[in-house]
Amino acid sequence: MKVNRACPCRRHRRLLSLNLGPLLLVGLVFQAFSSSAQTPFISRDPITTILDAFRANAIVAMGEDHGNEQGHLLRVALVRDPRFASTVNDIVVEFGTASYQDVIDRFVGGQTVSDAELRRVWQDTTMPHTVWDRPIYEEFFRVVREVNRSHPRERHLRVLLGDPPIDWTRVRTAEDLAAVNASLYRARHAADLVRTEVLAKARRALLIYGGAHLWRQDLTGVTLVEQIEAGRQGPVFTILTHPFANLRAVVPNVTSWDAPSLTLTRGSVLENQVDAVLYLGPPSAMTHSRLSRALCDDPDYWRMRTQRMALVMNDADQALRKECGNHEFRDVYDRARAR
Amino acid sequence: MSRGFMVTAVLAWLPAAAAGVSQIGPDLSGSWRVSETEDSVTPSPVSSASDPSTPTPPAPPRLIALAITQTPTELRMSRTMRTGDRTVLYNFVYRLDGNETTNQMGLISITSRVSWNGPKLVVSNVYSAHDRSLGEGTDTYSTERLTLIVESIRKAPIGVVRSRTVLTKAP
Repeated sequence: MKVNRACPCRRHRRLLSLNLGPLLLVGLVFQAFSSSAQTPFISRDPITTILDAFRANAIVAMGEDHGNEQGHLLRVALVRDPRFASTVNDIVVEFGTASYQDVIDRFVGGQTVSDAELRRVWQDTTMPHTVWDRPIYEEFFRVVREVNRSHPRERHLRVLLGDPPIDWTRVRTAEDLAAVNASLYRARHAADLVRTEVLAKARRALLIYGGAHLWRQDLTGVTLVEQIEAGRQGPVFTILTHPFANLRAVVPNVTSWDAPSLTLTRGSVLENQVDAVLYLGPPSAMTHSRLSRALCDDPDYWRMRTQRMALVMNDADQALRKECGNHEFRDVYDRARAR
Repeated sequence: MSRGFMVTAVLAWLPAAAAGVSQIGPDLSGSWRVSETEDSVTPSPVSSASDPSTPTPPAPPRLIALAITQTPTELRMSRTMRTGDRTVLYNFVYRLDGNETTNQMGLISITSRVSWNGPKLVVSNVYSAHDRSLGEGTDTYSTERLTLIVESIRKAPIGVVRSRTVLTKAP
């Protein structure tokens, strides 16, 4: 087959005869600047990225969407990762009261603690409602205990209970409660705990708190992270979950990402508010932990919880009944975990 | 004008054209400081019929200063705001090629599209928190010499909030 190598177009030859190298360069540079919004915010493995973040930060703070099971499974996988215990010393949690620090120390240290004593750790926080009664929080403590069992004592993870102490026998009114569960007061207590138990001892901690406590530049007031950083003892690396921190503010094509994955916000509009965004899947795929049947059938629990809920709502009994009324999600979650 | 120069100009312009440049309005770039603000709220029927014992929400955050960088394809804004005794900074980016962008102010996520209405820049916003809708609104930016005027209309649960903010260009 004969190939005609001659250019059929005289104009093309004329264009090619011009010295266009510098011109093309100008065009490419211009294009690079005009697409600055397309900085490659890549999807990263969350566990490796979190562990890497500890190289430069004493504290890595993970936002916890209360009750979200996908977030819980990731935290469990993180704590079980063999690299975790050799990188991190402490885990500071919102879902436990400082009143029982000695109990959780004994529990995660492998000593015998009765179930009745243990559950006061999350049932007796300043939160009057059921938020920490969901089984994922108890399970988290049990996972830490299990991980510690496989390590020598000097490498044991310590769990620090971040919620301020409260004596529920003295709480009679909503005003009594408001004095101890105001967000600012709770954040101040947790920040002091981090400063004295983690930073002052040159330790490293994973902080697990509701996302609202982790924003920087928050319009509603000084957050926990800002309180810790005000001490200038070391920056915190903050991770919030999509859509609490909207991943689309960093990268538009969220749907094509694998879950879980994480991206850094450096260079995006979010960079001064949060350091990384965690993607656990589309909102439609999220499942939430439900109160166990055993807890819902326990009359002592029912009485304790409704008395406390009644301090902040009108029909506490009805609200608890509603929470206890739906168990099919629990079964779906159990099946998913078994796989 | 030589043919070589024409080719240079076309080649340099081509990538920008491919990126969908559609700037028609004025350049809003600069550092702007707020000199006056007016707000008005038209209560919605729902809010006017609501329980009078419901506490009044806290005063909304105030814009203090605005730094704008405008390129052919995008507009970047750094908003300095004050709430109570606290000053915070939020960075926004808007695409000038008609594509949507998402920005965030703490818990509030804002998805926006911009367009030019003659010399005025119109930013159409949808507000949400944790994927729950909080309403929508528009911000219209126009310039007069060293003055930038931002007129905002927001449809919120309390009603329709209108505001007009006048900013002066910093030297």
